[in-house]
Amino acid sequence: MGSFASFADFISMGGYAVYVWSAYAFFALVLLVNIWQPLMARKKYFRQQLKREQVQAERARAQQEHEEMRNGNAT
Amino acid sequence: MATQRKQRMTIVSFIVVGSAIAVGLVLFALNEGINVFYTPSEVAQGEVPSGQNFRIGGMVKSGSLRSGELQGTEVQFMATDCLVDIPVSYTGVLPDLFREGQGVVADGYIDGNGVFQASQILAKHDENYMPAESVAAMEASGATCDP
Amino acid sequence: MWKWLYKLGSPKWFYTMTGQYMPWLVGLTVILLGVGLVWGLAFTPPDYQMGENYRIAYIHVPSASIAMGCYYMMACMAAAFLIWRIKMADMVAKACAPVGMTFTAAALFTGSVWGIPTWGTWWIWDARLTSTLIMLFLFIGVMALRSAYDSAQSGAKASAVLTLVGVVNVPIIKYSVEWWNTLHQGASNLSLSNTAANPPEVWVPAFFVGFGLLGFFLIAIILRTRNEILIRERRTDWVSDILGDARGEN
Repeated sequence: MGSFASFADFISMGGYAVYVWSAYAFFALVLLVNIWQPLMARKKYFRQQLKREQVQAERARAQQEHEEMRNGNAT
Repeated sequence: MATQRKQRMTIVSFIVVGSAIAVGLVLFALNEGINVFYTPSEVAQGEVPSGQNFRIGGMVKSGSLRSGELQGTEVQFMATDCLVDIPVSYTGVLPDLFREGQGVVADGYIDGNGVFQASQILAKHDENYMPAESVAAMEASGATCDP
Repeated sequence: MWKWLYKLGSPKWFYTMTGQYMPWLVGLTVILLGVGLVWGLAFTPPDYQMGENYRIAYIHVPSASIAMGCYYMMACMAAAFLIWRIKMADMVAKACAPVGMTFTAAALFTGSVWGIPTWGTWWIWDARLTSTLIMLFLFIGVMALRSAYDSAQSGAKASAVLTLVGVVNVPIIKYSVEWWNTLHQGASNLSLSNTAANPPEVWVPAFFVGFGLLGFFLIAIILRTRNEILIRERRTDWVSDILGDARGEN
């Protein structure tokens, strides 16, 4: 593996495994958070907007039914 | 409209320039306090408050390191900035990068004999990163004492 | 030039444009980051002093650069918002704060972990480390200040002012290692002509990671800005159309 004799050597990082891999793990976490968070926020936004639309549509339908009933009673 | 925008631009520049001046003045006033260590020359010139703990920073003079190879035994070396050498004595764990010809920062005080008694040793790395074969080339070209 | 700037100030144009170019940007970023990280982690020869441990530099240095660049960007957006009242500028500034905060945290963490074996300490109050910590607090402060206001407009203005007050800290971070004695080493002197002190085999992978991270930074900013656009423009027709498309998908 490039500059290392074996995969085990690569993992052990010349005895600095704890430092090197924890630094890279934190870095990976930062990358992950910066992608995952906005994607989740986007998903949530669409869910909320669609739900709001549904609620509005239902309310409008209820209103319409109510009015139709009133009109029906009147005639 | 245009004048309003100009006004806002002035305000924004005032914020940036004003805070920059304020911070600049503070840094200027703190000047020496911001330095994390004194150089051996500064110590020799008596710029360091005596009888107090402070940090000294320089290079471990080549050939000056005396120690038992075992960790935990006393280590003695010369901290140098190429002008003045200060003897340093330390007992304890050393960082990986502590070696002759490398930068060092020691925390401690100067005892009656003019020896810096360190309670902590930190290694200072330079800004050059290179594989071992490049170092041989560099040494052949004659890298000299520059801390 | 002005027309282009004017267009960039239009949320709809920004949203569609970034949507178009996003796949290219993602592809380029993945390639650059992938090549750079694998190269730096496994193929670059070890440093003659620090051994394998210096491989942390490949993420530490670009994280710090991107964090500082992010602050500059946030400051430019803050100024553009305060002077010209460009709404897009505020949206981008709002996106910068959390991204910059995480990159500053990454620079501090990787630096500390690097410092433990090499310096012998994970922290020292030298000028470089302290000013970087101040930048972390500035990013947090800018976010906190924005959310402290009930009115979005007031919050935007207040955080823009704080951003501009703090911008002086960024050059201090950069030059701290030259102006004062620090434990932190200075900036590396990279050049193709003088390769003795810093050979290209060491810093070329760093350039890959650096540009890859720049691409990643842009992606992160664009994603957040697009979300902000959708929220602020939710009553417009074009966002309704996007919602309509999303309804079809569900």
